[in-house]
Amino acid sequence: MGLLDIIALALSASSISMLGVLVVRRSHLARRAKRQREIEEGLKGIAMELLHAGAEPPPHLAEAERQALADLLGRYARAIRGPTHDRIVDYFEREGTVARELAVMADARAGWRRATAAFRLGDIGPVSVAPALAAALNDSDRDVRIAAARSLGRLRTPEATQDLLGAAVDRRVPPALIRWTLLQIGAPALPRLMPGLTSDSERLRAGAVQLIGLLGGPAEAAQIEDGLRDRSAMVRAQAARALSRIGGRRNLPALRQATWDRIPMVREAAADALGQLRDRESVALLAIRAGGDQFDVARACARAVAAIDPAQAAERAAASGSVHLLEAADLAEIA
Amino acid sequence: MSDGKPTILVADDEEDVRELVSYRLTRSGYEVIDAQDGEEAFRLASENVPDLMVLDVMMPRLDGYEVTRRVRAEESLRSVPVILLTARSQETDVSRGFEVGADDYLKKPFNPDELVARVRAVLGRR
Repeated sequence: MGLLDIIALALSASSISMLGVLVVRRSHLARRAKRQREIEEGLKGIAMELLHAGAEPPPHLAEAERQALADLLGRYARAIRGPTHDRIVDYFEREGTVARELAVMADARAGWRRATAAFRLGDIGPVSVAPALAAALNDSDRDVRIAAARSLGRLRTPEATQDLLGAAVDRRVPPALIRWTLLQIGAPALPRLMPGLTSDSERLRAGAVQLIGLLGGPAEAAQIEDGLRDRSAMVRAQAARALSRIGGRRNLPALRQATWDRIPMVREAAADALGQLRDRESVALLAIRAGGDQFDVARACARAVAAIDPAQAAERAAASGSVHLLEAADLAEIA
Repeated sequence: MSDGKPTILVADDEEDVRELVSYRLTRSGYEVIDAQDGEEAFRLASENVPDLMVLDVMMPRLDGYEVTRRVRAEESLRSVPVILLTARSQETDVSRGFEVGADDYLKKPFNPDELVARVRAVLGRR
């Protein structure tokens, strides 16, 4: 037997033994998962009675059963709210799970462990964990920050609003997630966003304007209108976008004025807002501007004319030959 | 109605949600039939007409809107009230639910007490 044969034999033997190890491990994991399901199945009645009637679980549960019950309740917690959810929170507080998860979120070295704890606290934690979650928005690990923002949305605590705004502005958390979180908190977040409108940071002012536009209503429109006169173009553009959602007739003159802004981005946002608010008085002006040489602004003006009065958009497109008006009129017809 | 108890058909592809809804309704004195998707829900409802249906909006095969639309189009099921259980809460989603014929809707995560109250209210209107 040559050296190559011996090497081939050794490699085959090690491959077979590796395969054996994988099979054994897979079967072990499958057995463990099956056992876990069986334990959970046996505990569902206990979990349901705890949830729906506040019945205490039996004190003699084995460690594996306690863990399975915690997993089960953690999953159920994601699906419900109200007093039934509060019973889960009480249970986890009594069991010391909340304190343990808080300690893990603060001290664990592995980012995934801190993130898991931050995620779980949103499901099983009382609102008193919100400050710790708000602090976790500054964690060095992105997953932890994301989990903390999501959990703050689950807990619906307005106290964290300014921390969330800061996290969105600094891009520590994806802005879309912050928007979702604040939508979960809803109107109670508004008073805490207002101070952002007068911040020295233009990004903070722009962020506040954007979020107020998302959460607010006509009552906030006057303060948002002030943003159209901000020294920052970013803020002025966000104010126009926000007014397209929460603005009304009172805001139309300021929006018409904003279509003359020296920055195209602001003019574009103002034109879109006038279209959204169906300002018929702007049609003639917007139609002229639709023939302008700033592509985005001209297209936004044409879009606005078509949104306000599709028939006029078609007529004016035929008369002026404006390609933007023609396109907007065609799109309006399809819609 | 079996044993004098109103029958409620609960359809949701999430097992945990289905269990929570079913347990709470059973505990509140209703007979509950479970379905894992929209197709099964419609089939079970056609076989054994329930007194009310609680349907998740986002389900495989047939979503809650489509099941509601079919229920309203089916002579034997037309009068069965439908409550939609939805993670969506945008105004358009809610109005779409009412447009296809739903009687009420509940947002996820849901409050089980509110669910029972709404079931009672909808059944009481019949």
